[in-house]
Amino acid sequence: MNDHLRTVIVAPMTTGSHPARFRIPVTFQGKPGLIALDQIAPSTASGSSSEWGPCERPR
Amino acid sequence: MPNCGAIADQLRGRRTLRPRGCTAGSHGLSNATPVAAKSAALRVTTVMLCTIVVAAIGASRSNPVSSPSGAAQRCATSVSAAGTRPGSGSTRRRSRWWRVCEGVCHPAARAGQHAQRGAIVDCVADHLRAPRQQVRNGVIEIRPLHRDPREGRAEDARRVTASGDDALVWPEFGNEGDGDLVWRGPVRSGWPRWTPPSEARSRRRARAWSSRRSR
Repeated sequence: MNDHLRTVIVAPMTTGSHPARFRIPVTFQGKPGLIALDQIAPSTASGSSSEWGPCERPR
Repeated sequence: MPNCGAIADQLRGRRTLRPRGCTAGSHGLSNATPVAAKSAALRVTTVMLCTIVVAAIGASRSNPVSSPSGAAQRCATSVSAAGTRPGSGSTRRRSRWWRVCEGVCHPAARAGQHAQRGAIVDCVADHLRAPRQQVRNGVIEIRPLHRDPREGRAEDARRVTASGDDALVWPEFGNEGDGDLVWRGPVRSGWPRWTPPSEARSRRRARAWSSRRSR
């Protein structure tokens, strides 16, 4: 879908927020953080966006 | 005392109960109804006198069990692991409990007349972690506990808002024109209807909004 549409759905990652049921704990590049699903939003895909790497779900 | 040979035959040959070789009345299963697919005939292996659990109904490991019964046994293990064992005693008590009880633990009120050693009991089992148990027509049913996946979100949202943690994490990652939008709070009821705003109403709302923000 993201290969064709000019919009993407993004959910921000943060390291400084409080945990909640709608914030998914992840580890990205060794840092623990949260995906704030309460702030999920569509955004226009820009050509400057790049792939940063996978994030892991802590066990 | 039940006919143990007949019970073993029952466990091997039939998934659903009714120990025909035994006197069914003595096991409290005379009114047991046949149960469908995910059922298992389990035998009461241990009766323990304690505050919470009276009967441990287990599929004995010595008996070859079919797939549904195996599922029941697995779920039974998870049930006992979930803390239905009585009290929180020492490690020795805990290990003894694990050794003795390999099965589904039923609270006394639900076990009722099934709490007899050697009784064959029907269990409608599923893959469980937090099961809901009930006795209906002489059959102990164990069903998965359905929980609302959205449970607790409202409380968490209230807590996050109260702590001021609901600001945008990436404010710069918006769309064109986002800066012009004004958040007017949640809609109290119904679908938001568009009404042509009069100037007076807009001014009133703006004043209310600014006073709320200043607080």
